Amino acid sequence: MNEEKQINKKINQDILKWVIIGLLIFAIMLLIFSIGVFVGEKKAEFSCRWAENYHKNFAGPRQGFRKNWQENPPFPGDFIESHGIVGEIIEIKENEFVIKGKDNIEKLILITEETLIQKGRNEIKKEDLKAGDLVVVIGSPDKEGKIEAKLIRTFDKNDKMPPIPKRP
Amino acid sequence: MNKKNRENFSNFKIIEPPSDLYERILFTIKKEQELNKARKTLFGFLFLLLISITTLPFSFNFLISQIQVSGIIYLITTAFINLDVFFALWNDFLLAILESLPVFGILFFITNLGLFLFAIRLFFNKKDYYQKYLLSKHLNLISFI
Repeated sequence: MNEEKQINKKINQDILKWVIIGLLIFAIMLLIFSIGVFVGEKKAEFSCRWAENYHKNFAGPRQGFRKNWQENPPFPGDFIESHGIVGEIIEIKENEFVIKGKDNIEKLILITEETLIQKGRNEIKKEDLKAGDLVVVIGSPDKEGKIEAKLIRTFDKNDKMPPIPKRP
Repeated sequence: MNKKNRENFSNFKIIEPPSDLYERILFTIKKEQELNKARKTLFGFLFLLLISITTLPFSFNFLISQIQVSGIIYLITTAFINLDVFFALWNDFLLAILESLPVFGILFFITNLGLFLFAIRLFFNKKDYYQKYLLSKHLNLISFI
């Protein structure tokens, strides 16, 4: 009788253990899925704003390219990164510059008073940036499809680093 | 007729089967079943090992090319060089790295590596099994010759 009770108790504990493990795994998977959705939403949001304001920021017809964007929604892999960009400076304006990223898409980077610009471990001024420099930009997107830079770091092309990322 | 048959067959000795014949038959059947199982497991392991070894270099090269295209190395290098800035802007850094992560490359390589390690583990767990199977085949071949 006692043995039967012990066996039943052990079975119940085993079942409980597996239920807890199952719930934990489900929670972790849900968390990872949520992170993926969050990052995807950020990229999609920036890609949409970038496309809607392309004609204002760079060039194009007055009415914009919005119609084309709506007719041909991009493949999910084509969404643009909005918080970190690696690329080459192609044009410098007063408080902003244009960078060509890995997907050969130009992005407008805003330099503010709080932007930290570095070369190596040394801080430099925005006047020291020039076209052709390889830079890494960390920032946040704004509503006009531009990226407000918080950190800009220039790399020397002679540094032992992988080649500039380019989508094949 | 039956009486005549009984007389004819009365000179035959009745051979009693050995007492453990039943157990020996069951043992042989069980041994054959184990050998069959070992053979299936061995071929399954060889197939898995072959597939995983063949695709491992491709998946590794694919991962490396995806990492190079994504530019994530630049982001991680920037984070490590400026640790104080990284901690100050950790949310932007984290989002930048997550956006650039080559997910398909990593997934493909990890799946391939997992299959390879599973095949190796299967081999070490069932090593005795395979040895018995191969030895039995070897002995059968010798007795056949």
